[in-house]
Amino acid sequence: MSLTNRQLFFFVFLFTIPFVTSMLPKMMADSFGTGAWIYLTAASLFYSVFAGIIAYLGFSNRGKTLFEYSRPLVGKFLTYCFSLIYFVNFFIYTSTTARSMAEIIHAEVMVNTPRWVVMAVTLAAAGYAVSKGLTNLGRIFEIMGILILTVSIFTRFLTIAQGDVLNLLPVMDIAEPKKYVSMVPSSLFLFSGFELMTIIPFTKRNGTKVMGTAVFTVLFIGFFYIFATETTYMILGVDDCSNYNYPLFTAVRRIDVNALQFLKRGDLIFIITWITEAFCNLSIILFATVEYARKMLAKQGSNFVLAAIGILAFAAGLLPSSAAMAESLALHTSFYLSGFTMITIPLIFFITQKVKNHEKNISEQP
Amino acid sequence: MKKTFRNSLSILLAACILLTLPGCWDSLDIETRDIMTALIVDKKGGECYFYTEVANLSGKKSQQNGDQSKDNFSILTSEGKTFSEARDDYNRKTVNQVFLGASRILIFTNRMADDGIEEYLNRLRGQLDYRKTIPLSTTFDEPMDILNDVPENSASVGFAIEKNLESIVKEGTWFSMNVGDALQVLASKKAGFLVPDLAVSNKAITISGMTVFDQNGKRIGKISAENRNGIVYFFNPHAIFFYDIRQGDKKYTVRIIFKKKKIVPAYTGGQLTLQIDMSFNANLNFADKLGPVTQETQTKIQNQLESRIKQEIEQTVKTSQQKYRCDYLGFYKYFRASYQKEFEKMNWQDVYSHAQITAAAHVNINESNIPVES
Repeated sequence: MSLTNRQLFFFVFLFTIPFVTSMLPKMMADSFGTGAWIYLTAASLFYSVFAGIIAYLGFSNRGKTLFEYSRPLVGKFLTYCFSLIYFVNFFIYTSTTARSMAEIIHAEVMVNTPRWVVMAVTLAAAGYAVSKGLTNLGRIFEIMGILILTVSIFTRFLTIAQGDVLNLLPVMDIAEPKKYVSMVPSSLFLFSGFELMTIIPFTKRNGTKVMGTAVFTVLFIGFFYIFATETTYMILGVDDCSNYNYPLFTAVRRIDVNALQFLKRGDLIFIITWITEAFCNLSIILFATVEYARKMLAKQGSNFVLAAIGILAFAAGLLPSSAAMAESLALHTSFYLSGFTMITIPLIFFITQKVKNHEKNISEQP
Repeated sequence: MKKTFRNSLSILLAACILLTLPGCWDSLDIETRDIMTALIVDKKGGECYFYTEVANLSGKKSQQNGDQSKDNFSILTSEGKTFSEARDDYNRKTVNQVFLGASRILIFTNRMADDGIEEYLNRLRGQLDYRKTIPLSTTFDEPMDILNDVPENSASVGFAIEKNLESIVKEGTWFSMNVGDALQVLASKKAGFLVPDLAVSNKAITISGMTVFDQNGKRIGKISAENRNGIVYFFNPHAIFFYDIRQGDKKYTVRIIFKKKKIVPAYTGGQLTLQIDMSFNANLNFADKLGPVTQETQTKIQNQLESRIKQEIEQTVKTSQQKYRCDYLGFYKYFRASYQKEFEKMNWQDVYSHAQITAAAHVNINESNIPVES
């Protein structure tokens, strides 16, 4: 059960981007206007450090996941406490992602299909994918990831060709400092995804390059966010972005490729790709949730755990009364839990690991 | 047994996905939808009216007029106190569910334009099946006169108007304005926009000019098609026009191709200055009399063209500043790019209408179909 570095890149990338990119331009237009790239660059640089730390921990404890390497570092009790935090975090993300996916598909593509049907079908399909294990998921998502990335970049270039560069000016639109502070919780939501590396055991094959891959992935996600936000601005303008819940879809719908009659409506491929993206995203989050549950319950490879979590996530996903509530739940989860899973816990392990290594070095000295 | 169960489960899952995710739940056969190709929105006496051209897929001959070419399309109307009521009335009249995704043109009557189109455009903002790339237009004619017109080479009025607009934009003599563009300008709350105006003339639908809308989406005036050159230079990066220039005893026809524009705003002590520089390439197409053209004549033609285009640009801006007091030429984007904070606080309409304008046109005759005498 392992991933290559390239597969790891796509795992983290597909975990992070689908839902964020659909609403990111609105969030950025409301808070930072055309200066959004400054915030996104700063946030991606900040989080890339923590992605590097998690990758370092995985690299230092090859063949082990966080649940396994944390025992010798912090003891059994804290291991379970930390794993529970990760489990709750991923579980809430699974249910809110399934719900948000159903809401977006219902709002933008299939207005007559009930949300619960979309949720049930996508969770069942994701569950089937998860049952095939990490290695198979890694292989299939590597291929899907390449396709998704290609189509996304192609669609964004179409947007550039038809957009107005003036909508991106002024480039240096620096917001008030309190805006940056108020957007800290959102930044956790935007970059939540690399903590997934805590359930991926690294092997010798990953080598030291895995840390570079982790840092590069987060920086690339930041770049991708900037690209998605700016190209949406080019079509809609900053003012109009605020008037839509999912401006990315609106912008893509405003592109007509007249030069390619067979592909005049570029939004069709974009929407199909986005649904694939969202499916990959759901499968990866479900995988992370199930892995933590299996480890804590000592039921490695149990499909019963998978089925139970799938059903529970479906039920929990139905609880929010609206799309806004589901999104707010995801945002609050990221604020209260992702802060721990992305920053605090990895930092505790990193310091403990360093101290233990230092102690070991001292004891080994003659 | 276990294998059979797994196979059955896989087939069930695949069936669920095929039935729901690709949209089968939402899909309807084409003949069970009313496909709208043109929509005219009108308001009179406090009532809202929809006039639509709908593709006739039943194969039944139309009884509306004797023209066979109209057999493929039907005209449906509805009314109500509000747009929702008019839509409700429309739904109760139509046999099938309406499909808006194939609409080719959205037309507002002058009455509707006077009352304001912002509400209706905001209504479209939330309608998913309505393409935001469909062109907008206005008309002073009665909706039925437009929809009953029989265009040449097209059975549908909607398709004919869309194609007409598309072709003149491509030729460089007009500019595109669609629902999405109007929504973007309205979201700024500080600028206006221009919409092509249609008229039925000699039994043919023609683009007679453009309607000026203010920042609230209300009609404030009309500019005739003859005065459009300056406007097209602002909006169409591939603008092309022909000018007749008299030089000596000859009349030269010159093809002007827009090259680039540079707009530099400066804002000091509450006074806005806009510096507009436009460059053009020109092609000496032909003259009314045969014979070569000298370098000197060419320079004179060039100077004449520069002064004429400069005048057109200045007149275009002046009209927007003094007559309509509305920035429908999109200067606000240039100003905001350099003075974001000031822009947010100021009354742009006031500042713009008192702005000082410096315009310059640079023409370079780089091609000549007439032999040049060295």
